[in-house]
Amino acid sequence: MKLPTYEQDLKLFIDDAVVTVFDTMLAMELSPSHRGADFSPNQPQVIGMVGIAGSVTAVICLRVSESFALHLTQVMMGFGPDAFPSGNDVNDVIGELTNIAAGKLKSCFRVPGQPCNLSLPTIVRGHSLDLESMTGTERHSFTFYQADERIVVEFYSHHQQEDSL
Amino acid sequence: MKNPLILLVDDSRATRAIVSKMLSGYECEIIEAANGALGIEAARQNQPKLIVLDMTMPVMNGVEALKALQADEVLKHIPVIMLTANSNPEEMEQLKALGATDYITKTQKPRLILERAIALIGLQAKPGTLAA
Repeated sequence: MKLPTYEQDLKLFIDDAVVTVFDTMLAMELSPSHRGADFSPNQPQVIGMVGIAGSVTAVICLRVSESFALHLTQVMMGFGPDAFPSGNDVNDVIGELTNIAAGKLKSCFRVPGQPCNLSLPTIVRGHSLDLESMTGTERHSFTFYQADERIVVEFYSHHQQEDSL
Repeated sequence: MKNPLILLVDDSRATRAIVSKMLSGYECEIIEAANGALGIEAARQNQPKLIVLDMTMPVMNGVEALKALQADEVLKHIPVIMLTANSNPEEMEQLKALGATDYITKTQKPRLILERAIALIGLQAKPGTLAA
């Protein structure tokens, strides 16, 4: 599959950010995939979202199934297999993973001399969730696998350069 | 001799858990705070030997907390390792200019915090642990 240059660069940045975060924080090896990965409508999901504002204006979303989010929380917080993490623990872990991935992406988009800030993470939980972008916003979606578990990363960006033309 | 006190300031309980676990094999006491304001309060009350300070936090972020620490005659001598999701070299240099002793990005191996703590405050492994 041949991707346009922007999307190719974005894919490289996001692959690197997400794979590095899961390796560093969870010692988990992720495989980027070209397969699409929609969650089934009734499957509960947890989505972490962090905004990037500066040289790029964007939101990065990290979407996993609720069961995988629980597993990630157990691993990251060092819980035993019998411990059941609270909802706040799950939010904390998914928010922190999204925040670290956003931080790494932010440095990829760095323009010297221009400030760039991250928002605090926001968590959305539920099922049958559809994220829609506003007019003028591009959506890019990337899928990763850890064994049979999917991690979907969506990147919503607003092109400032096009605005200035 | 009393074990050195390390103050971890991070809004993420998961990150605090990772750092605490990593330091558990070493002769130190750990106290935690969930934002910069609570971190400053904990630093005033306990006068730690080292502060590990996250950047992005609610209520008071890491930069504001670092400025408050540097403005305090007693606390400004405590070494501060900034913990950040971001790895922008310009911003890292700004943190050093504001008084941070060092910085570690969260995409680096967490063990780096331990290495910096050993270098800064001479952290010693607990006898009989794997770290010893």
